[in-house]
Amino acid sequence: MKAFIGIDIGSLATKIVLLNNSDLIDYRTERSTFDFKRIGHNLFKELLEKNNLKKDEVFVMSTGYGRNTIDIADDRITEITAHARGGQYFFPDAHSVIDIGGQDSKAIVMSQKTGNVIDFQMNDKCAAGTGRFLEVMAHALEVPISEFGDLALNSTKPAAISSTCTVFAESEVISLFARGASKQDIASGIHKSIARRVAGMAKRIGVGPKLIFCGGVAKNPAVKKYLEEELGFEIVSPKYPQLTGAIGAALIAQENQSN
Amino acid sequence: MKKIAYFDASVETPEEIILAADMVPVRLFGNPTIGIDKANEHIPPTHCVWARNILEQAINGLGNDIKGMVCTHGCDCTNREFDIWLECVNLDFLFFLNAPLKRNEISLKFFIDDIKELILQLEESFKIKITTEKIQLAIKKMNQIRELLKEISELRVDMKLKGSEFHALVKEIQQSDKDKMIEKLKLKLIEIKERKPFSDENLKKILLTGSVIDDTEFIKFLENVGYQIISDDLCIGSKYFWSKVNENGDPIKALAEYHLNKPIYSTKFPSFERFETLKNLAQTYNVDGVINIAQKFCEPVLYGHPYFNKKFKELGIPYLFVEMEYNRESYKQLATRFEAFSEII
Repeated sequence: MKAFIGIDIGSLATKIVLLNNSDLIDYRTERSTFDFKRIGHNLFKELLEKNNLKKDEVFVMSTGYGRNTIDIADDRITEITAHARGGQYFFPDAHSVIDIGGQDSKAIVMSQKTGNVIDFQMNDKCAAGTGRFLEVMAHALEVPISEFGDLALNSTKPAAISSTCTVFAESEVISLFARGASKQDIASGIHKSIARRVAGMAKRIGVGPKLIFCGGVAKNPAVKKYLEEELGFEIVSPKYPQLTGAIGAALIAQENQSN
Repeated sequence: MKKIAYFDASVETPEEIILAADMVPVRLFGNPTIGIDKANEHIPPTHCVWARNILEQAINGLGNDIKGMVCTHGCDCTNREFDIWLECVNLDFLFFLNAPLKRNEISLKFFIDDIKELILQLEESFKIKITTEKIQLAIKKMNQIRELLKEISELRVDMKLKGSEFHALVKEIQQSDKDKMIEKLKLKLIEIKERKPFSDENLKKILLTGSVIDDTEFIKFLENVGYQIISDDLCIGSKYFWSKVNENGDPIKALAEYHLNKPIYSTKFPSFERFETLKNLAQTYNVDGVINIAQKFCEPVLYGHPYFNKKFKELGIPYLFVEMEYNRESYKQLATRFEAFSEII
């Protein structure tokens, strides 16, 4: 019986998982870089070697931005379907997903009856509302990205960030800093801004509880908290939020093969 | 033969009048492979990309055989652009035809008067006579085209004709000599009917609507994703041959009635009237889904989307709305949306 590999080639990070009988056996992640084909190949090779597997013993399903260009894939699926399925792996009773990745964000609604995707919205044209926005802002404030969310949660008086453009928001941040606003208040305003933008997109397609928050940005506690405030209900995040798409791809491969 | 261009976001230009003036009506299309520079000096880049693209071409020159241009009320953006044409485009004959938004007795009279004004202006500018008989002959000619196109369009449903081939054909008709096109359509109809249907096993059958979609490459892109456009309410599509013009009685009145009795186009409102047409098409052709495309900054289509989204959801008909850039490179970026929609339906 074959094992199933899901590879999610995002614009910022490549994620690969190995599934056997729906159990997550192993995974790898690495920054995609411009040569994401090579990164994908390396991760794939590493995963096979570590688990004593040969290429013909696995079925590979690719997803994400680079899904059509990676030649190790046996089949392909969009990140919309993959994230919906991957989210349900962690929370079978959920029927909404918000995924905020490095350079895009998406909201997905699944049918309560079948679990299939019924609607989605994507933002892949504007950096505001993506992980890249947070990276640029963390850099402007000279704060490591891993500490950015916690810093925001220490705020007592969040600053208002009115610009919806990353470039103008960066100028606004510098201006706020010059006027004496604290780093944590500015950080809080930045996180609220991304949460407001993504929640607005998600509300347009009618997301509701139980909602899964995934993608690399789901590791950021401030974005999660402010998203909950904007949406008006609690949201859940899986143990490995950045692996949701890859896990979904592997699961779909497994299900397709068994049908 | 002299040519008169028409700039029309809703296909309500009575081409018969230009034909009756012994000239060839040539619809203006955008060109997604060109950059926009000169038009941006007159219109902000956040306004309709299609209208700016055509203005760019017009400022650069439409060619010596184009002797004039009729701008027909298609949408507010193209209407207001006419002011800029008057200032910047080097054509001796420029006429604004005010195709009314409302459909009632008053607007019918208004449209008839404006068509008569177009006739008068053409006669004076080109020292010609546009007779009733010539208009009647032109109506007969255009009706023949409408009839042939209607029959050919149905072959999309039979999987004998790709949506892209049909799109290219309608575009060609809107820019070519109609007599030659009648002969071509007759042969084409026979040839397509004899084709073996292509496999539709993995094809999703789609109703396509939205802004002016004039790049056939975009239709091919949709086909590569796995769609077959079997129905549409597009101006380069079924809105061009919706029904026939009455061949009896006053031909000018018949032309005005024809255009005012067609279902309202996407650049005009009210949305609920448009929705009824779309719903009927979706149900008649039993489509797998509806795709609504807004060209970037096409405000009328952007305004219509929330209502359609709500109504199609209520009916349980899968519906995808995509706002796109007017350049071919951007199609690839949209692939995930179209592929995901295909996976859903």
